[in-house]
Amino acid sequence: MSRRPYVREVPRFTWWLKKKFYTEYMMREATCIAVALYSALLIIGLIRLSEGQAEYTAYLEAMRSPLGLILQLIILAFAVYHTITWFKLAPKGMPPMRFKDEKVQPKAIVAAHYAGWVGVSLVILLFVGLV
Amino acid sequence: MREIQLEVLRYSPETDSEPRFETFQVPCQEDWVVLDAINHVKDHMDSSLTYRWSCHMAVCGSCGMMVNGEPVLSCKAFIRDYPDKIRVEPLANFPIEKDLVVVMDDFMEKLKASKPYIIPKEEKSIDDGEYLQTPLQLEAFKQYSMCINCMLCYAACPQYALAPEFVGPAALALTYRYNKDSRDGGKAERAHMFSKSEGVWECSFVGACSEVCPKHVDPAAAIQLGKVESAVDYFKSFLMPWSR
Ligand code: SF4
Ligand code: FES
Repeated sequence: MSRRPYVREVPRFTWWLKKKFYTEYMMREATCIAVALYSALLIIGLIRLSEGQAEYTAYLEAMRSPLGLILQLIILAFAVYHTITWFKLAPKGMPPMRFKDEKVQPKAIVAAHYAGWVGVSLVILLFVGLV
Repeated sequence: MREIQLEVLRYSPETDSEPRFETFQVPCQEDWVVLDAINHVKDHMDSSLTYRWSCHMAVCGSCGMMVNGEPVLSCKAFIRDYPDKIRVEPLANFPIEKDLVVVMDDFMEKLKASKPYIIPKEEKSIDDGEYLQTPLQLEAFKQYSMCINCMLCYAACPQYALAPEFVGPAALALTYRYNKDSRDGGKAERAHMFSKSEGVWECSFVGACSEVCPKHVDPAAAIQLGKVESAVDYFKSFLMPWSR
């Protein structure tokens, strides 16, 4: 008997297109770019603010322009996807917790994340006077 | 009785230069699993078909294979849940030895090097009695002790496919299991496998391992928690060098 194990090659660059689960993982990772992009927009805003009122008004105008709004909507959609997919995984990154002598269920951990999200969003909306 | 088309990836190291599919028409009974169909082929159609199995009840972990592209225990995959055409291949990410049998040396070596057994904190003689453990202490690791070494998680893991030096889900989950055991004192001895860059840090948290695990071990959770612990230990070793 001769041994001649056969190794199946894995496509180095397209493997993540082979399965929906892998593609979703790549999207979860890639959507972080949108989060970074929005952070960059906010930092630019801060820089404009430090430069003076005219510059800051121009920045706000640009953000309110159709192009600015579309960009922000796209970023929002990606950021929401990013958030939801990470919330789903949150229980896996948490050490086992107990509450009133019972193990805290994964569902409760995810729910707590959503509650936190709603809470923080409300505070921000209150702060900017939108609610 | 339902007839299915069973496409099996065949590879004979003696005669084939590469694997090829062979199709069998298999009359299946309502309650059959994929393994039954494969056994039927071996018993009645082609006795040279090579594959592993033993318990036929999702306990031994030897019958893992790709069924329609997903790693499953073939003794737990009911034909009634599949279409009429079923494609079986050897577990992905492992070299093929013959037909549906893979070479598992890599996993076995990693498992052994991970020291998945209790290394007691303090040796006791039999006269000193048992090592006692409370239900709460058991709960800390019980889920991770359910692993049957079926390697489905390795077949699901794209990280292992791209970086074969990755210690991988099951070996890391089992290391975590022993590290978390109140009777154990071997964490430092296991760190060379667990905390190295090919250990927990190679994991990019795809999470596919936990999806396919037939025993709900959730290796992805063990690895993420392991990352946290490994990072804490690293900083501790700076702040409290004496604790090393
Ligand atoms: S962790 Fe689950 S999938 Fe992986 S070897 Fe153990 S039982 Fe199989
Ligand atoms: S034959 Fe034992 S797990 Fe399937």
